[in-house]
Amino acid sequence: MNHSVRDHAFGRLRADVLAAFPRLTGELSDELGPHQRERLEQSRARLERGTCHVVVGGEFKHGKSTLLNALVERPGLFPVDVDVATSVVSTLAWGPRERARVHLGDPASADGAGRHTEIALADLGAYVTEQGNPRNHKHVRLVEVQAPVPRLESGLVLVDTPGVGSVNPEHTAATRSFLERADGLVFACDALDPLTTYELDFLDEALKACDMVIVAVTKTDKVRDVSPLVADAREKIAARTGRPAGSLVVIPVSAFRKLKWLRHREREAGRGGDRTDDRLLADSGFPELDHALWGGLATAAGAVQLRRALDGLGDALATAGSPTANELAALESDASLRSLRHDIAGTTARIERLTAGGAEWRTELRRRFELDNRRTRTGLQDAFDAVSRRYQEAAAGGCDPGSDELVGEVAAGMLRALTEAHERLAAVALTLMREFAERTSLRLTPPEVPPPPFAPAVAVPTVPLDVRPARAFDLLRSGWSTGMAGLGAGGLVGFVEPVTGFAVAACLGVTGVVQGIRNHREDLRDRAERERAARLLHLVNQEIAANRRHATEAFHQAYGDTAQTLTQELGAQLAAQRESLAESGRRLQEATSRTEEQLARRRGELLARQQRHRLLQGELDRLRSRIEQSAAPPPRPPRQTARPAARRRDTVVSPVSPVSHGPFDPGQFDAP
Amino acid sequence: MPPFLGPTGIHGHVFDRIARAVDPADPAAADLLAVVGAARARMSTPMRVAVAGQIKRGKTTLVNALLGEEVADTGRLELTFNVCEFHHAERPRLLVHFKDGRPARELPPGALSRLTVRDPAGMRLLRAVRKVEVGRPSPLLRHFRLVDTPGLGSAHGTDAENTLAFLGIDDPGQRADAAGALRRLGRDVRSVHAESAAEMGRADAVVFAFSRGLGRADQQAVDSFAGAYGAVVSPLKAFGVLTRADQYWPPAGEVGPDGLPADPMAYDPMATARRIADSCGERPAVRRVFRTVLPVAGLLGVAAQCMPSAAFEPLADLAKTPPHRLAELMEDVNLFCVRDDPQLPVPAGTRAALVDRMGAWGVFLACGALRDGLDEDATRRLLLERSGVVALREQILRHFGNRAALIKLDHGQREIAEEVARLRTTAQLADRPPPAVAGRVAALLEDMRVTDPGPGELAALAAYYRGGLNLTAEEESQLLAVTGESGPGCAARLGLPAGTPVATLLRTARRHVAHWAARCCDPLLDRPTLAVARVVLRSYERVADLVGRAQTLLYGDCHEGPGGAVGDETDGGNGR
Repeated sequence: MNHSVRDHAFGRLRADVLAAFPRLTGELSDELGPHQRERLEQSRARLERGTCHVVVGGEFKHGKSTLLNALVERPGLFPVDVDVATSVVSTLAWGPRERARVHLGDPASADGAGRHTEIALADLGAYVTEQGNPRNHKHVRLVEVQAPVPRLESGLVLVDTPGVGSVNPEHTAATRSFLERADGLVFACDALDPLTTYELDFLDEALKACDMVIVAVTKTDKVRDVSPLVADAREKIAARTGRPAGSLVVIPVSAFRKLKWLRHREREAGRGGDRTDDRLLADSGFPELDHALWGGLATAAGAVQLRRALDGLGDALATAGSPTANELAALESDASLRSLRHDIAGTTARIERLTAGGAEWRTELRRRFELDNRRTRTGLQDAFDAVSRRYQEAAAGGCDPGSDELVGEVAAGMLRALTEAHERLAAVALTLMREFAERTSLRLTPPEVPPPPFAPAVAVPTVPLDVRPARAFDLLRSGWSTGMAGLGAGGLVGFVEPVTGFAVAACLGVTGVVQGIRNHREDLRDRAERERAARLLHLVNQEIAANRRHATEAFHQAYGDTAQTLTQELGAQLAAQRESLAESGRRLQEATSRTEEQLARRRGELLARQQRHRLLQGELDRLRSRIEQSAAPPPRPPRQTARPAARRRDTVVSPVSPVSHGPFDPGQFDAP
Repeated sequence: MPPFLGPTGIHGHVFDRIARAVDPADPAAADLLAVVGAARARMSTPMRVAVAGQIKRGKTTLVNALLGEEVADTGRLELTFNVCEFHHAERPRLLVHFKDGRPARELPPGALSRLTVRDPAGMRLLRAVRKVEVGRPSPLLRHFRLVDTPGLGSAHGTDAENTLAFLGIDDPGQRADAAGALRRLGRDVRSVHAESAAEMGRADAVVFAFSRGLGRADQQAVDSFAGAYGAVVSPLKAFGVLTRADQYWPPAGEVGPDGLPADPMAYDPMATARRIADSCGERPAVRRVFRTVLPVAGLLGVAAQCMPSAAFEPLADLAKTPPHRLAELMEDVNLFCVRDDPQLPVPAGTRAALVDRMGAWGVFLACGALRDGLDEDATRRLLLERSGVVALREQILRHFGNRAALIKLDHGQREIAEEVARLRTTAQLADRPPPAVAGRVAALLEDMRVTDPGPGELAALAAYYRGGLNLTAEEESQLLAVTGESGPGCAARLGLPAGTPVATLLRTARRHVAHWAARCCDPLLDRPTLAVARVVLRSYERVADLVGRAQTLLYGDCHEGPGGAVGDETDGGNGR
């Protein structure tokens, strides 16, 4: 089954990029310092555990869970029943063994802190379904499921969400809040039920928020004629969203046929045969769905991850190559040797100073970070004020203060404000980082000096901050998976922990808001209308205030962690630089004591080494162009959301990827 | 069929007394007199059962299935927005009532369906229609008038009031169609809801139809139904129907132990639908309005009764396919309807037509029956039975028919009380003393509550349906039986089969009396339960008294006994 993953563009590319890591470390075994090695290892680990989150959404009873089970070829994984409806968000990711972790929110505790507990997969129904957990009275906020499902090995995380616009408004709120930061959406619509207006509203929103939206028309085995249904769905979505019908991905699927095919296959395997009914599989529509899903991921989120990994590889190669380039330059003439030695000594001294514990840039960085984020902070509070004011106005204007729509709006508004604040936080950190990197290199190389023979490889860290700036919330997304995998090495540690807390507390807190209010409402339903409205208003305001408190705390926490990570990251960069400089200095030292003959031989060696570096760089370039190709496949037209993200990402990466302008081969290592 | 109540009502004397108390010459009492007159008249007419629910929930198919003929037009959109009332007539007739009050006009049956949108005169007619009345020679209509309502609104108090979302139409295509039809008819969404609601208020009993579990819109409809009509509708006079129950075959959600779809051979969609219906019925909001929810496959019910005999030929051909093979092929309805298959003796187009007509489950069931050697009539009977329509008819007869008198009494009593309240309020607002007649009628109503057993039993039933009574399951079934759930005869009220010897009846009645008398003496019993126990005791005492008198007078079956003498108790109704 592993081969089926490799059949997909994304899976293949990812495997190739992963394979480039050991190759690079092998080739450069004697040129990489321990710090560089560690950074490379981190980059590889990030790609390996890097996840794409695909939300599986749709109205309840439209076959979402069955679709999921058929997609991962695990019948019965998620509970399915005609009368069972999914009621909480659950995620499914790869794991070496089956386990499920339930995050519970305790409504009684003032700080909204959650606990989590491990359950058996068989007991899933008691937590994730409306029947086992009616109205989510167990206060489940998130269920994380892991299973050794080969299809998910490449880091795909499927998020099963409750319906949209169905009985419980918190379902819709939860689905929407996840959509904000998902890499893709598979939307299940029922062949038996025509698309409704609220489903179309949801899709409209999803298409705006998400790079990849696949509409799966489920239960096609239950209707007489499928093609008019698909055409109808396509037309309706096009009419509602204003997108050309041809650009929409609408795939008719039959989970029933896929499951039946699985059963056949298992039976055949039991008999030792391998005759499977491939027509059944083709009729199920799942091959097309797989194709669209993996192809779509390769173009969107996956491409970002792969690019990031390639950046890491390129960084390592350039950093490792700069001593060679410098030494070659030094071998050119005595004058260049002298000037190089001088530069290196100067740079080393500066880096020493920068590394020193009391270095002034640390305080400066903190000061600037505080200053630049002041606006974010006030913006967050203003947004909260606005949300709460709008709510008061609506309630005063005669709206039912407990109505699902109104409360949902409040929850969504608060979440939006919080998301924006975090994005701004990340953006500020990104700018500061770049600025500081530039400032340190400027001082190293005064403008009146001719172009330096080498550039310091102090770069904007590629580690936690170079997320897609359009939705800089990869941080949050990685939080979901990192919590599960128990990972969090290096610079990520500080970042991830509070973010996971935030993800559960704030993001899923939306469901908490709506639920809490619903409970109050039901208690009060029988009381006098006026009294009820007044009390409800009071209670909702209390909920808003409590949520605001949590959100503000979460923001402060994230703020502190970001600041800390900033300094840590710069420190790590400096350490890697020092390593590279020390190596350059050592080699120059050796060069001075060599004879002509030795020098000639040395130059030959160095040239050969540089040739090797070039070959490696060529490989990386080919990988990169493959990613770019798959990211813009001809059948899928460019999407507005995908494009700017990719562009901005490039502008972040290219100028800062370490470029070694050696005198002999200017532009040799220019980023592609 | 179980016994049902004849057209002459019991408790009728109550309204007679009130009518006598109202002076026809009194100008203040004109309205009151009309209300009392209507209540009195209602006691002797068949009861009106409204089929309510949101639009497009299979109401009309349900009506067709109940009547056993395709009288109601399911296709024409313009006609679905009218209230349509069915009553019994020896030969089919069609009566159209107009909005502007001009006299109702009789049209040839089926005339409305033949009107087209393009015909301006026809559209003028349709625009003027207030209500359509259809007479059919259907046996069920001897006991009931069926009212097909267009559709109740759902969301209350939001700005969605004037949109089609309010009527529960969620598909934008259907919304556009419906909006066009409403525009052509010169009507709006509110009027459709208002007419349906008004019709429901006028009806004696309500069957609430919904499909596919309770979605948000259906749920809101039930909630607003409970909220707005909580006074009018109680489990006593309403129950729910889960339509389109056959949609659960082939099994879609149900899975076997291996997580794969369940075996269609052994799968009963009605059982699944019942499970869903039960879980709907457990929702507190639903329980307040109806206790029972029945699953019905309306389409199959109609097909079983109305499908032409010619359709049985391809069914018989299909039945030749081995059952397992057929089940496996039919499991994939799509392929069954479109793909040519050498194993199937019937072309895909015919298969598709059959599935359209009777649903996949119907085709499968019919093939099974034919394979078992059943003839066409027996197959039709089996299909009708399995569709749940038979059970629905029985439920309507039992639940409403046997207690028709009580329900109608409740209805009349409530209307008169409302009218009295209105008279008093009007007078109060105008700063006049309330008319004397209001006080007189109110006193009579109060008096009636004490003297007539009906109101007491109604109160007991209401308490029971509200829940929270401290009764055993057996006591609960006795409460239902003695108030007429299974029939108005003495035997039925005692929970015994018809034809039980009088001696046994008497013994049983006395045993029950003793039991409930003991219950009444229990000092720890809570007040609501005590009140109910007293009512049940009194009712059993009356039954015991009746049976006792019958025994002493005639030594015969109490049913054929002193009907006239104790008419207000059993109304001579009997368990033939």
